[in-house]
Amino acid sequence: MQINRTGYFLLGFFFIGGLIFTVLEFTVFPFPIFLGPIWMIVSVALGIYAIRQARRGRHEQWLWKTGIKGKGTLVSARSGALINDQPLITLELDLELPGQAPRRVRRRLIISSFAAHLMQPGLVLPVYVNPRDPEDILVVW
Amino acid sequence: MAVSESYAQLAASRGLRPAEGFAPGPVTPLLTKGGRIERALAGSLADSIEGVIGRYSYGRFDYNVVFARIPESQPFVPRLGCDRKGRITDDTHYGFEVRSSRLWTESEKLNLRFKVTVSPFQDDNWLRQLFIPTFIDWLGESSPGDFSFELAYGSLLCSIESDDPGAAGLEALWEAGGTVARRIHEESTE
Repeated sequence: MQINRTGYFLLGFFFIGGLIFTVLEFTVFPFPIFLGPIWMIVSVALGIYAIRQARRGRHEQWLWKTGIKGKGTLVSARSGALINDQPLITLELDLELPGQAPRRVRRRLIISSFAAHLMQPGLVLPVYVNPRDPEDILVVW
Repeated sequence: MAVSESYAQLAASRGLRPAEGFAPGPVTPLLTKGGRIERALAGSLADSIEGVIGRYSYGRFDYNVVFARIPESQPFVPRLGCDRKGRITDDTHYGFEVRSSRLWTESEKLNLRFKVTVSPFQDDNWLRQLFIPTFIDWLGESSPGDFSFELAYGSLLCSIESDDPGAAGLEALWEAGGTVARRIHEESTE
Protein backbone atom coordinates (compact mmCIF):
# COMPACT_ATOMS: atom_id res chain seq x y z
CA MET A 1 0.00 0.00 0.00
CA GLN A 2 1.35 3.41 -0.96
CA ILE A 3 -0.43 5.38 1.76
CA ASN A 4 1.93 6.83 4.32
CA ARG A 5 1.25 8.67 7.59
CA THR A 6 0.49 11.90 5.74
CA GLY A 7 -2.04 10.06 3.62
CA TYR A 8 -3.75 8.43 6.59
CA PHE A 9 -3.84 11.79 8.35
CA LEU A 10 -5.47 13.48 5.34
CA LEU A 11 -7.99 10.67 4.91
CA GLY A 12 -8.87 10.73 8.61
CA PHE A 13 -8.95 14.51 8.78
CA PHE A 14 -11.37 14.91 5.89
CA PHE A 15 -13.54 11.92 6.78
CA ILE A 16 -13.90 12.51 10.53
CA GLY A 17 -14.02 16.28 10.10
CA GLY A 18 -16.63 15.86 7.39
CA LEU A 19 -18.66 13.53 9.56
CA ILE A 20 -18.62 15.97 12.50
CA PHE A 21 -19.56 18.89 10.27
CA THR A 22 -22.34 16.89 8.62
CA VAL A 23 -23.89 16.01 11.99
CA LEU A 24 -23.55 19.61 13.21
CA GLU A 25 -24.93 21.06 9.99
CA PHE A 26 -28.09 19.00 10.17
CA THR A 27 -28.65 19.22 13.92
CA VAL A 28 -27.14 22.44 15.34
CA PHE A 29 -26.65 24.85 12.45
CA PRO A 30 -29.70 26.86 11.37
CA PHE A 31 -29.19 25.67 7.80
CA PRO A 32 -26.73 23.23 6.16
CA ILE A 33 -23.76 24.65 4.25
CA PHE A 34 -22.73 21.19 2.96
CA LEU A 35 -19.10 21.61 4.08
CA GLY A 36 -19.26 18.26 5.89
CA PRO A 37 -20.55 16.24 2.92
CA ILE A 38 -17.97 17.93 0.66
CA TRP A 39 -15.14 16.92 3.01
CA MET A 40 -16.47 13.36 3.11
CA ILE A 41 -16.60 13.26 -0.68
CA VAL A 42 -12.98 14.51 -0.75
CA SER A 43 -11.90 11.74 1.63
CA VAL A 44 -13.64 9.10 -0.50
CA ALA A 45 -12.02 10.49 -3.68
CA LEU A 46 -8.60 10.46 -2.00
CA GLY A 47 -9.21 6.89 -0.87
CA ILE A 48 -10.11 5.79 -4.42
CA TYR A 49 -7.02 7.57 -5.77
CA ALA A 50 -4.83 5.87 -3.14
CA ILE A 51 -6.24 2.42 -4.00
CA ARG A 52 -5.63 3.01 -7.72
CA GLN A 53 -2.09 4.21 -7.11
CA ALA A 54 -1.38 1.23 -4.86
CA ARG A 55 -2.69 -1.08 -7.59
CA ARG A 56 -0.49 0.69 -10.14
CA GLY A 57 2.53 0.34 -7.87
CA ARG A 58 1.91 -3.40 -7.47
CA HIS A 59 1.42 -3.78 -11.22
CA GLU A 60 4.71 -2.01 -11.94
CA GLN A 61 6.49 -4.36 -9.54
CA TRP A 62 4.85 -7.33 -11.27
CA LEU A 63 5.93 -6.02 -14.68
CA TRP A 64 9.47 -5.52 -13.45
CA LYS A 65 9.63 -9.07 -12.13
CA THR A 66 7.81 -10.94 -14.89
CA GLY A 67 7.80 -8.67 -17.96
CA ILE A 68 9.88 -9.11 -21.09
CA LYS A 69 13.04 -7.11 -20.56
CA GLY A 70 14.24 -4.91 -23.39
CA LYS A 71 15.69 -1.51 -23.96
CA GLY A 72 14.29 1.80 -25.01
CA THR A 73 16.43 4.36 -26.80
CA LEU A 74 15.28 7.88 -26.15
CA VAL A 75 14.27 9.75 -29.30
CA SER A 76 12.93 12.86 -27.65
CA ALA A 77 11.97 14.19 -24.23
CA ARG A 78 9.69 17.13 -23.60
CA SER A 79 9.04 18.44 -20.14
CA GLY A 80 5.74 20.02 -19.31
CA ALA A 81 4.02 20.65 -16.02
CA LEU A 82 5.46 20.13 -12.57
CA ILE A 83 3.65 17.62 -10.37
CA ASN A 84 4.66 17.62 -6.71
CA ASP A 85 7.68 19.72 -7.74
CA GLN A 86 8.81 17.04 -10.15
CA PRO A 87 8.73 17.45 -13.93
CA LEU A 88 6.20 15.54 -15.99
CA ILE A 89 8.16 14.42 -19.04
CA THR A 90 6.91 13.02 -22.32
CA LEU A 91 9.38 10.47 -23.59
CA GLU A 92 9.48 9.06 -27.09
CA LEU A 93 11.35 5.77 -27.15
CA ASP A 94 12.44 3.26 -29.78
CA LEU A 95 11.78 -0.13 -28.20
CA GLU A 96 13.90 -3.20 -28.81
CA LEU A 97 12.50 -6.39 -27.32
CA PRO A 98 13.57 -9.98 -27.87
CA GLY A 99 11.39 -11.65 -30.50
CA GLN A 100 9.48 -8.47 -31.37
CA ALA A 101 9.75 -5.95 -34.19
CA PRO A 102 11.23 -2.58 -33.17
CA ARG A 103 8.62 0.09 -32.53
CA ARG A 104 8.30 3.62 -31.28
CA VAL A 105 6.22 4.45 -28.19
CA ARG A 106 5.41 7.55 -26.19
CA ARG A 107 5.10 7.60 -22.42
CA ARG A 108 4.50 10.35 -19.88
CA LEU A 109 6.41 9.98 -16.62
CA ILE A 110 7.00 12.00 -13.51
CA ILE A 111 10.75 12.04 -13.04
CA SER A 112 12.90 13.47 -10.25
CA SER A 113 14.61 16.75 -11.14
CA PHE A 114 18.09 15.26 -10.83
CA ALA A 115 17.20 12.58 -13.39
CA ALA A 116 15.29 14.84 -15.77
CA HIS A 117 18.39 16.54 -17.15
CA LEU A 118 19.74 13.14 -18.21
CA MET A 119 16.76 12.52 -20.46
CA GLN A 120 18.53 13.36 -23.70
CA PRO A 121 18.12 11.67 -27.12
CA GLY A 122 20.25 8.56 -27.36
CA LEU A 123 19.92 7.58 -23.71
CA VAL A 124 19.09 3.89 -23.31
CA LEU A 125 16.65 2.96 -20.55
CA PRO A 126 15.58 -0.52 -19.41
CA VAL A 127 11.99 -1.35 -20.31
CA TYR A 128 9.70 -4.21 -19.26
CA VAL A 129 6.71 -5.23 -21.34
CA ASN A 130 3.73 -7.30 -20.30
CA PRO A 131 3.98 -10.60 -22.22
CA ARG A 132 0.21 -10.56 -22.75
CA ASP A 133 -0.19 -6.86 -23.58
CA PRO A 134 2.48 -5.15 -25.70
CA GLU A 135 1.11 -1.71 -24.80
CA ASP A 136 1.65 -2.33 -21.10
CA ILE A 137 5.18 -0.95 -20.71
CA LEU A 138 7.29 -0.05 -17.72
CA VAL A 139 10.09 2.42 -18.40
CA VAL A 140 12.66 2.31 -15.61
CA TRP A 141 14.53 5.58 -15.07
CA MET B 1 40.13 28.24 12.62
CA ALA B 2 38.50 29.98 9.63
CA VAL B 3 36.93 27.80 6.96
CA SER B 4 39.38 29.07 4.33
CA GLU B 5 42.31 28.03 6.55
CA SER B 6 40.83 24.57 6.99
CA TYR B 7 40.56 24.18 3.22
CA ALA B 8 44.11 25.49 2.73
CA GLN B 9 45.38 22.99 5.29
CA LEU B 10 43.52 20.15 3.55
CA ALA B 11 44.93 21.21 0.17
CA ALA B 12 48.45 21.15 1.58
CA SER B 13 48.12 17.83 3.37
CA ARG B 14 46.39 16.01 0.48
CA GLY B 15 48.05 17.77 -2.45
CA LEU B 16 44.75 19.09 -3.79
CA ARG B 17 44.58 21.78 -6.44
CA PRO B 18 42.06 24.63 -6.72
CA ALA B 19 39.00 23.89 -8.87
CA GLU B 20 37.42 27.33 -9.02
CA GLY B 21 34.14 27.49 -10.87
CA PHE B 22 33.44 23.79 -10.39
CA ALA B 23 29.74 23.27 -11.14
CA PRO B 24 28.55 19.70 -11.69
CA GLY B 25 24.97 20.81 -12.30
CA PRO B 26 21.78 19.47 -10.67
CA VAL B 27 22.90 15.85 -10.83
CA THR B 28 22.03 14.61 -7.33
CA PRO B 29 19.06 15.42 -5.07
CA LEU B 30 21.07 17.84 -2.90
CA LEU B 31 22.59 19.57 -5.91
CA THR B 32 19.15 20.28 -7.38
CA LYS B 33 18.69 22.90 -4.65
CA GLY B 34 20.46 25.38 -6.86
CA GLY B 35 23.34 26.26 -4.57
CA ARG B 36 26.97 26.83 -5.41
CA ILE B 37 30.13 24.91 -4.59
CA GLU B 38 32.83 27.26 -3.34
CA ARG B 39 36.42 26.77 -2.22
CA ALA B 40 36.52 23.72 -4.49
CA LEU B 41 39.66 21.61 -4.41
CA ALA B 42 40.28 18.69 -6.74
CA GLY B 43 42.51 15.66 -6.50
CA SER B 44 42.78 11.91 -6.48
CA LEU B 45 40.06 10.60 -4.19
CA ALA B 46 40.52 6.86 -4.45
CA ASP B 47 42.36 4.59 -6.87
CA SER B 48 41.59 6.06 -10.29
CA ILE B 49 38.71 8.24 -9.12
CA GLU B 50 39.06 12.01 -9.19
CA GLY B 51 37.17 13.95 -6.55
CA VAL B 52 36.32 17.51 -5.67
CA ILE B 53 35.76 18.81 -2.16
CA GLY B 54 34.07 22.14 -1.50
CA ARG B 55 31.57 24.09 0.49
CA TYR B 56 28.05 23.84 -0.90
CA SER B 57 25.59 26.55 0.10
CA TYR B 58 21.99 27.14 -0.77
CA GLY B 59 19.64 29.43 1.05
CA ARG B 60 20.71 29.46 4.67
CA PHE B 61 22.12 25.95 4.53
CA ASP B 62 25.81 25.08 4.32
CA TYR B 63 27.31 21.69 3.66
CA ASN B 64 30.82 20.50 3.02
CA VAL B 65 30.73 18.02 0.16
CA VAL B 66 32.86 15.63 -1.84
CA PHE B 67 31.81 15.02 -5.43
CA ALA B 68 33.01 12.23 -7.73
CA ARG B 69 31.87 10.56 -10.93
CA ILE B 70 31.52 6.77 -10.88
CA PRO B 71 29.70 6.13 -14.17
CA GLU B 72 30.31 2.38 -14.00
CA SER B 73 27.80 2.19 -11.12
CA GLN B 74 24.86 3.40 -13.22
CA PRO B 75 23.73 0.03 -14.64
CA PHE B 76 23.81 -1.57 -11.18
CA VAL B 77 22.52 1.13 -8.88
CA PRO B 78 21.11 4.14 -10.70
CA ARG B 79 19.90 5.80 -7.53
CA LEU B 80 21.06 5.32 -3.95
CA GLY B 81 20.61 7.61 -0.99
CA CYS B 82 22.25 6.91 2.35
CA ASP B 83 21.14 9.80 4.53
CA ARG B 84 21.91 10.32 8.17
CA LYS B 85 18.78 9.60 10.18
CA GLY B 86 17.13 12.86 11.09
CA ARG B 87 18.52 14.79 8.17
CA ILE B 88 15.77 16.72 6.44
CA THR B 89 15.59 15.51 2.87
CA ASP B 90 13.17 16.17 0.07
CA ASP B 91 10.55 13.49 0.07
CA THR B 92 8.07 14.68 -2.46
CA HIS B 93 5.50 12.07 -1.51
CA TYR B 94 2.16 13.48 -0.53
CA GLY B 95 0.71 10.37 0.96
CA PHE B 96 -1.02 8.55 -1.87
CA GLU B 97 0.89 8.43 -5.16
CA VAL B 98 3.22 5.72 -6.43
CA ARG B 99 6.63 6.33 -4.92
CA SER B 100 9.69 6.84 -7.09
CA SER B 101 11.93 5.39 -4.37
CA ARG B 102 11.77 2.77 -1.67
CA LEU B 103 13.49 2.21 1.63
CA TRP B 104 16.08 -0.54 1.89
CA THR B 105 15.99 -1.77 5.44
CA GLU B 106 17.75 -5.12 5.34
CA SER B 107 20.68 -4.06 7.49
CA GLU B 108 19.64 -3.33 11.07
CA LYS B 109 23.04 -1.87 11.85
CA LEU B 110 22.77 0.54 8.93
CA ASN B 111 19.21 1.43 9.93
CA LEU B 112 20.43 2.67 13.28
CA ARG B 113 22.24 5.61 11.70
CA PHE B 114 21.05 5.87 8.10
CA LYS B 115 18.00 5.91 5.90
CA VAL B 116 18.83 4.05 2.71
CA THR B 117 16.64 4.74 -0.34
CA VAL B 118 16.85 3.18 -3.78
CA SER B 119 14.83 2.92 -6.98
CA PRO B 120 11.70 0.75 -6.59
CA PHE B 121 13.24 -1.48 -9.25
CA GLN B 122 16.60 -1.95 -7.59
CA ASP B 123 18.18 -5.43 -7.52
CA ASP B 124 18.48 -6.24 -3.81
CA ASN B 125 21.21 -8.83 -4.40
CA TRP B 126 23.49 -6.16 -5.79
CA LEU B 127 22.82 -3.94 -2.77
CA ARG B 128 23.72 -6.83 -0.45
CA GLN B 129 26.99 -7.18 -2.34
CA LEU B 130 27.66 -3.44 -2.06
CA PHE B 131 26.85 -3.24 1.63
CA ILE B 132 29.24 -5.93 2.78
CA PRO B 133 29.63 -6.22 6.58
CA THR B 134 32.95 -4.33 6.68
CA PHE B 135 31.40 -1.42 4.76
CA ILE B 136 28.35 -1.39 7.04
CA ASP B 137 30.63 -1.49 10.09
CA TRP B 138 32.63 1.41 8.75
CA LEU B 139 29.49 3.44 7.95
CA GLY B 140 27.95 2.69 11.32
CA GLU B 141 31.01 3.18 13.50
CA SER B 142 33.76 5.08 11.72
CA SER B 143 32.20 7.48 9.23
CA PRO B 144 31.89 11.15 10.31
CA GLY B 145 28.98 11.75 12.69
CA ASP B 146 26.82 13.78 10.31
CA PHE B 147 27.90 11.97 7.15
CA SER B 148 25.50 11.15 4.30
CA PHE B 149 26.00 10.20 0.68
CA GLU B 150 23.87 10.03 -2.44
CA LEU B 151 24.57 8.40 -5.77
CA ALA B 152 22.53 9.34 -8.82
CA TYR B 153 23.30 8.02 -12.29
CA GLY B 154 27.00 7.77 -11.57
CA SER B 155 27.36 11.05 -9.65
CA LEU B 156 28.39 10.58 -6.03
CA LEU B 157 27.95 13.34 -3.48
CA CYS B 158 29.14 12.79 0.08
CA SER B 159 28.32 15.48 2.59
CA ILE B 160 28.54 16.62 6.18
CA GLU B 161 26.32 19.28 7.66
CA SER B 162 28.82 21.05 9.94
CA ASP B 163 29.26 24.71 9.03
CA ASP B 164 32.91 24.67 10.01
CA PRO B 165 34.21 21.15 10.55
CA GLY B 166 37.83 22.33 10.79
CA ALA B 167 40.76 20.81 8.96
CA ALA B 168 40.31 17.47 10.75
CA GLY B 169 36.64 17.36 9.78
CA LEU B 170 37.45 18.06 6.13
CA GLU B 171 40.15 15.39 6.22
CA ALA B 172 37.59 12.94 7.61
CA LEU B 173 35.08 13.90 4.90
CA TRP B 174 37.66 13.47 2.12
CA GLU B 175 38.67 10.12 3.58
CA ALA B 176 35.02 9.03 3.90
CA GLY B 177 34.28 10.13 0.33
CA GLY B 178 37.21 8.02 -0.82
CA THR B 179 35.99 4.98 1.10
CA VAL B 180 32.49 5.20 -0.37
CA ALA B 181 33.74 5.91 -3.90
CA ARG B 182 36.19 3.00 -3.73
CA ARG B 183 33.52 0.59 -2.47
CA ILE B 184 31.02 1.55 -5.18
CA HIS B 185 33.69 1.43 -7.88
CA GLU B 186 34.94 -1.98 -6.71
CA GLU B 187 31.49 -3.52 -6.65
CA SER B 188 30.54 -2.01 -10.01
CA THR B 189 33.61 -3.34 -11.75
CA GLU B 190 33.71 -6.76 -10.11
